[in-house]
Amino acid sequence: MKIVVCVKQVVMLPGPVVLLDDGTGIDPLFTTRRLNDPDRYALEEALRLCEAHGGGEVVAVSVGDDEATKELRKCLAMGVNRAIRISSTGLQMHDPVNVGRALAQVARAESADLVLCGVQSEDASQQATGPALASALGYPCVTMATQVELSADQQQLTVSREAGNGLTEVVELGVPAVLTVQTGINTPRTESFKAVMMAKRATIDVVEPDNIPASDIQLQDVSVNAPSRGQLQWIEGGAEQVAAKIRELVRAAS
Amino acid sequence: MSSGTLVIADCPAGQLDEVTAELVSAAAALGEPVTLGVLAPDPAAVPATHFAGIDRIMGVQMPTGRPGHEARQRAVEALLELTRARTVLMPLNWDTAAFASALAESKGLSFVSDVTGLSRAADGATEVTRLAFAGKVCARLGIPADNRAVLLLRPGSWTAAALAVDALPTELADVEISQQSRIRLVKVIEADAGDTDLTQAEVIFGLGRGVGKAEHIEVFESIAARLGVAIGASRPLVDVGLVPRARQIGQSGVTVKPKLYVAFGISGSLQHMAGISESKMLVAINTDEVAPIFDSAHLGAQVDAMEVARHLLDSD
Ligand SMILES: Cc1cc2nc3c(=O)[nH]c(=O)nc-3n(C[C@H](O)[C@H](O)[C@H](O)COP(=O)(O)OP(=O)(O)OC[C@H]3O[C@@H](n4cnc5c(N)ncnc54)[C@H](O)[C@@H]3O)c2cc1C
Ligand SMILES: Nc1ncnc2c1ncn2[C@@H]1O[C@H](COP(=O)(O)O)[C@@H](O)[C@H]1O
Repeated sequence: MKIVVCVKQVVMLPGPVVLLDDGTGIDPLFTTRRLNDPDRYALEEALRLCEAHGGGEVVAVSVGDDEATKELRKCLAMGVNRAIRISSTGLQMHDPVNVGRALAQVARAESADLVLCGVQSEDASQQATGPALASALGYPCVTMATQVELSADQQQLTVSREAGNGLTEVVELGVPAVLTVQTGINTPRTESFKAVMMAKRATIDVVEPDNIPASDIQLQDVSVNAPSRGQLQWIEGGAEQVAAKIRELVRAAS
Repeated sequence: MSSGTLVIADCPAGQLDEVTAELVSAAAALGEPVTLGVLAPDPAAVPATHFAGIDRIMGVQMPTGRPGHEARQRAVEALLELTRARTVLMPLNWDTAAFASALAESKGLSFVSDVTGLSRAADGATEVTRLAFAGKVCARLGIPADNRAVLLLRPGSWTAAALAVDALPTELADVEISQQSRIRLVKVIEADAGDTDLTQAEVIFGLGRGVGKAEHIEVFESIAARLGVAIGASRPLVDVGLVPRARQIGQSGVTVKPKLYVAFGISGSLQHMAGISESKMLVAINTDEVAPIFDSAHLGAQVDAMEVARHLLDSD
């Protein structure tokens, strides 16, 4: 079983939002980057599936710039066999169809039996890259997986998925397939210090996407989301006053 | 060139989702004829579909039960072909997220997810706004005039359109949508309510990733015990096992309707807000002044939630 796991290096805004002067983006000085948290669950699920079925190969793939290599090393330290970076130059990172097609090229070249994605990226939150990638590959896709089982002959998947309104659907499908993995499905492993050191020396292949149709969705500008603070009142004072106010509200409501 | 806007109303149970009226309002901004596409086992029997602003209602007869996303995708594809619509609008939810980007990929359409604003530029381009970075940043995207597009709209972002005075007939599309899918549904399981019923609680302290450490949760548990309030949490705390699943509030957890909800260190994601919008009084404690939760809160404080917790613990 060969499993490709798609992992994204996401941009986080820990503090205030500071825009570039031309409004086309966020000032990188005020951002940090990290491995998309939902993707850790997808990685763990891939590793467990292979371990439970006596081997196989897990390949982590990320579309990103040079900095994204850092996250791929983290994947190697977690235990994936190989990591590939798809250069984001020329791709539109805000277009999940564009990114999905690039990921599909690598998944096809790798002859993946299974492709796993996270449920959503923490920065763009589109929930869309997985199904787009499945379409580009011509594979069936199950989203929001909360349990994944592989048959002994490694040809059939039984997947539980969140279906809304508190319902879980149990579905069956054959491989090859694409799944998006819901958070909480497992407990992602932490990397050992030794594995982290080993991963520092690993080579990570870089591939250029080949003839992906250009995305014509233009990112025009970004702005700080100006909230409609219609009804909001700030509680006056510091933490002590805030606590007193909460206590008063609790008393009134109970 | 394609023209027109297709609003998809998926009605497996024969009833319109409330969000359909919002999508009809959104469609008006595009200034093109609007077709409402009704996907249902018996489309003509779906009540109250004749919204003001709709020019045509087209029904697609769907298999009964749970059609699955491959059948849904085929139904939307068929409507796209029949209407030659330029823009398809669907609500962002479990069912649509499963196939919308795949539809766009296979048909060469532009795609944007979680759209909160829609307008038409002077040059005919479709202008779309969406939120990113946990709702802190608003991005404006342009889709060129000669592109067709699939857009998933965020529920709650438009005011609902009213029904028109006169009813419109539902034309039945001459297509057959089979249940056939590469994905076989084996069974459907209902959520197990667990031992806690947050839906009845009058006062809930909602804990988020901002207080997402075991020792912090313990502090809140002792406060809750003393004050007699219930503890709920955002999904990430449940995912890492800090809080039991039955206490997860939101789209994939429980919907609560307390008199008072105090959110400690919760950013206010679409999925969390879906579970707390019926709270009578919403108080948000967050260190980030632009956290989206403040958009919906009645009272707010930009302070460290643990500082507040210590005072709640102390002064009793
Ligand atoms: C299909 C699907 C279903 C989902 N269902 C749900 C659901 O049912 N419920 C749900 O909650 N989520 C759900 N999610 C996840 C959701 O998208 C968000 O990831 C989640 O709600 C974020 O949780 P949070 O607000 O606790 O964390 P974050 O978004 O990380 O926010 C943490 C907040 O804490 C603040 N903070 C940090 N430190 C402090 C401090 N010391 N004091 C005060 N504030 C502080 C930060 O400013 C930030 O605003 C779902 C996602 C998907 C894709
Ligand atoms: N640039 C990327 N590189 C690799 N995988 C990605 C990338 N963007 C998105 N993904 C995958 O698609 C999932 C959903 O992302 P999104 O559609 O942006 O919400 C993520 O959890 C990743 O698994």
